[in-house]
Amino acid sequence: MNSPSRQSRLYAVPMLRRKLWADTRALARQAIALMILVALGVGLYVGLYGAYQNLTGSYNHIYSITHFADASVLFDAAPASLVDVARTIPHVRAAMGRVVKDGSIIQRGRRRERVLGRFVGLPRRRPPINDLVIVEGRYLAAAHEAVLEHQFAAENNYKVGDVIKCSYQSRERRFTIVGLACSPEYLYPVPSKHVVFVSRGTFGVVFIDQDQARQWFGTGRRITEIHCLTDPGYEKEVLEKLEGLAHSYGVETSYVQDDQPSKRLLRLDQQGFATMSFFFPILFLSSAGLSLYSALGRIVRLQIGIIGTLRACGFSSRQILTQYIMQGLLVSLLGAVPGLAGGYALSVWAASNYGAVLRLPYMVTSPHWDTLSVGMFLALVTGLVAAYLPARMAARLHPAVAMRGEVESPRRLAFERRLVRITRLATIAYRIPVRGIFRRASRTLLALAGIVGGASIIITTFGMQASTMDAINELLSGTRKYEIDVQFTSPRALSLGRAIAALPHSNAFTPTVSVPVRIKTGWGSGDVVLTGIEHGQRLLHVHSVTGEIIDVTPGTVWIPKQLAARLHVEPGDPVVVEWIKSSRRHRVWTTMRVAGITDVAIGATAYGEFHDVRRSLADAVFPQSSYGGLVACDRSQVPAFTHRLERSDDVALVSTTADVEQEINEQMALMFIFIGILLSFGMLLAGSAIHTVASVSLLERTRELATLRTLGFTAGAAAWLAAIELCILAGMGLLIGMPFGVALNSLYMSSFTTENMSFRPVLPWWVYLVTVLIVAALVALSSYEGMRRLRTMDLAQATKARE
Amino acid sequence: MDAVPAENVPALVARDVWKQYLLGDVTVNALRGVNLQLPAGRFVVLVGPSGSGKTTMLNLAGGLDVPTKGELLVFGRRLNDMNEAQLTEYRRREVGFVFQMFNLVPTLTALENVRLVAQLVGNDDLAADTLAAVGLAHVADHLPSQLSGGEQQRVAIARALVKQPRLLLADEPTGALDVETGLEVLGLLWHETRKRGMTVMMVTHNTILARLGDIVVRLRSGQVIEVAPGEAVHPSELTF
Ligand SMILES: Nc1ncnc2c1ncn2[C@@H]1O[C@H](COP(=O)(O)OP(=O)(O)OP(=O)(O)O)[C@@H](O)[C@H]1O
Ligand SMILES: [Mg+2]
Repeated sequence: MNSPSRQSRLYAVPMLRRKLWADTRALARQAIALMILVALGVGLYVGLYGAYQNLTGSYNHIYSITHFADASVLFDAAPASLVDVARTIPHVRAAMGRVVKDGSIIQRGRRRERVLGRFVGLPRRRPPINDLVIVEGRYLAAAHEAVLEHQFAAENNYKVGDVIKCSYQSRERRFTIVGLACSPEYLYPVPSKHVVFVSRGTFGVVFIDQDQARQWFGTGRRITEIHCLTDPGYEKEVLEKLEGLAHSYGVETSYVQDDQPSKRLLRLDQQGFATMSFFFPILFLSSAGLSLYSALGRIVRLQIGIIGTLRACGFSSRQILTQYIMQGLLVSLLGAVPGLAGGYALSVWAASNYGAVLRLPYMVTSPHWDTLSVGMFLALVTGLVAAYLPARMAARLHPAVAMRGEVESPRRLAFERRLVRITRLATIAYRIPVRGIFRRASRTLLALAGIVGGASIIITTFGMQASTMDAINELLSGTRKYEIDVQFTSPRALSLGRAIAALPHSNAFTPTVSVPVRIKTGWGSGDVVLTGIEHGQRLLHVHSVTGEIIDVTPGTVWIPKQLAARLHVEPGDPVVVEWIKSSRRHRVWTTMRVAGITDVAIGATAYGEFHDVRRSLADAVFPQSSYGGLVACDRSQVPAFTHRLERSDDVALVSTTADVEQEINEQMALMFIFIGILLSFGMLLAGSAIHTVASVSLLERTRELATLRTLGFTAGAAAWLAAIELCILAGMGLLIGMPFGVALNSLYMSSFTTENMSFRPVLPWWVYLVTVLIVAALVALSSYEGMRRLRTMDLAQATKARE
Repeated sequence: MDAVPAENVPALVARDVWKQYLLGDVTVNALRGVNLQLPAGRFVVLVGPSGSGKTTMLNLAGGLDVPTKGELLVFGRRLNDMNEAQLTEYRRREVGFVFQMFNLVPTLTALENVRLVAQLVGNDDLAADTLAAVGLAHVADHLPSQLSGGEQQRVAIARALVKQPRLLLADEPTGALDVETGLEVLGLLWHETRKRGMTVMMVTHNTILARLGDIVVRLRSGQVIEVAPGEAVHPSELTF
């Protein structure tokens, strides 16, 4: 008798498939819980990754229709003919020169009366590079017309037909707004890479006729920017050539498309989506897999007698294996289907909402079949992997042994006896929880993994929260002892300082001067803003790495720690400080000694002494440097002060700590949602691990515990035995999970470190306490639930219970 | 082997069969040199004290396990050197099991439990009739939890019969039933197997039920101490 094709056997036994469905139905509650986990995992993957793809697709669509520049160089001023030279660089497909200047937009009667304005000169015909998407109105046709960046317009309620008043170096111009537009350079409106927080609606980009701009700025035929389209793959090469070209005209900054400040910030956000789209699904699917594994393991153990019978009847071990694997696949398939549908909806919803915040003119939302297939694949793999071990256990059960029912490995028993002897748990009753832990080593390890995972997620989450709050607190209250930061149009206005300080409700004023510089050592160079502050001033408290508040002295400079690390400088070292747009013809520089290293989480600024910075750098490069001051006043007087300052023609810009706070709080709202999700997830993971152990130890030992009760143990005592097992496991889980979480936290926080940001991994004591408390609460909850079940247990039923 | 007339081939031949279990460092001899020859078509009763090796003997005969030593033939087929696939095939074709714990699939109905096995061997069309033969046509759609113990065991018997095996193994089939129900179920088993000419090996502790056997095999400490002709009482004459 040759053995028949085993694969076909399963299909030859339709009743086996009935059993599959019936078993799944019988476990409805559990199966549904598992399906929800699978659906969440698949849904979040498809949703978040789909949103990422939708957003990327939408951005790329805008980038492509507007011919977003591949390589750009921004400099002081150069003859327009430089563009013709740029066109001759190999692999340059098109080049365009522009004149761009920053000034202020003056808007009487609006919430902020003076905001940062960027004025971009454009040709009468649509520009071949960095074109606009006109969302309302039309393109420029006359000298007095302007097209306004539409996000700023919406925030400040500008309409087509309105007049906008702009000021450059105290020279004012009025333009009629003829169109609102979306620019590839300002999808996320940010003036430069140095700026981290832009308060909504305080940065406006105004596109005007280039001849008008030249006349207004007094730049003649000169340009300040060159943008190029290149052959794909040659962006970096072209950029280097461009930098070389512009070198003698004082390069301010240069970038390929991917490093363009707005695109870079968007990409950070997109990466957030992409990271979350892997992080969450992995967490959900792994806990789905874990639960599926333990649920199936339980089913198999409960069905041992039946498995033995089926094997005795002539079902092959392959058929048994397939049966239980199919069970896992069925559950994950049933979870995947709603997950895919929900995920698709989420991808559209998330992308549209995010796009709405940016007021994207186009939103490309299409089903991404690749992502949907990967989602389905992930679900099935989860089911397969989770089901494999229990299924194999079922298939490998020796039929004769299976007929006997429960299996206890003698070797494990011997080991556990030794352990009991060591721990001197004299009472036999107390052997029960200890034996429970060793009964199934793989289950114990999985439960442990769940608790470790949960605890470390909880720690990382709280750590993230603590580090962020620490950074914000430092920024808002640790550093800023002033309410208003004012920028003047010229150094002459500094004399206003005394008048401001003398105003009623004003407490203090200290002048500041800022100039973008490049700090150089033998190791390299770094771009920062150098701010000069007065010796002995008390409005800005910057901390050094050694913890004290810095003070400035002439001839020295305080350097932010990220930069100090990169330049390998230590206090006392000399550094070259050079104006960022220095060129061969116009080089402004000085040498300074490093006074010390600052420790600031957000933003990268170097500090020097006010008069020293003015004398050696700022005065020589004006108007490329900015003068202003910090004002301390009564909080209630901030709006009045702001308006008063904004009305003055000597004031270029006013920003308040309250604005920054509001902006941060808005961004934090998102962060808190993220933290909340993570936290509940960590709790879910630890909770489900603990609950699985609790319910399994009860279910599997219903008879055992019921027997204890019939022997005279109280329900409480019996539940207590089960609880001890949980406590031992939870204790072990915490012991491993906490150091793991601490390590994970510092790794996670350091991944956020950029040129402008560096978070300290802060883990206050309460984080540990809360983690322990959460795990303890989960243990208590599970134990209570178990106790309740034990108390209501039908003893007569349970003592012979044997499904 | 199909060529050999069945009645000439003994149902079971055991020659010096040993079965050992390793319990840690200790070797347990469940069977210690069993020699036994059982003719086909008889109702054989296995008796003996607890731990004497009755279940072990049934498991070996049913191909759930293989002997550690010795030779075991069922209907002329050597079980000793069969691999797992061959054993599975053997169980599928030749044997039916009835257990003390009925071990029905709790999520399938009575009829579905029978069909589950019937479909395995391609006898799906016999399932309903077999269930009717054990007198359960009226509860075909009931789940095991909705059946009495006796009914559950009759479903288990139908499940064993539907394969039309040559050898039916029953390990204390009435152990979980009350005396009357046990007698009733046993009578059914006796009639249905006799009707089909099956060889039955049944383990029982009950000396009264043992009177049913054509042959009584007595085991003690893993050895056959007696093979005697039984009283071969008709089930209807069994009384207490
Ligand atoms: N898997 C096993 N591992 C170790 N010892 C076993 C195993 N199976 C059976 N034994 C031992 O073999 C011996 C015979 O067991 P068996 O189950 O055949 O007895 P039995 O006659 O059926 O007893 P009962 O009437 O109580 O059912 C017993 O001593 C038992 O402890
Ligand atoms: Mg037995």
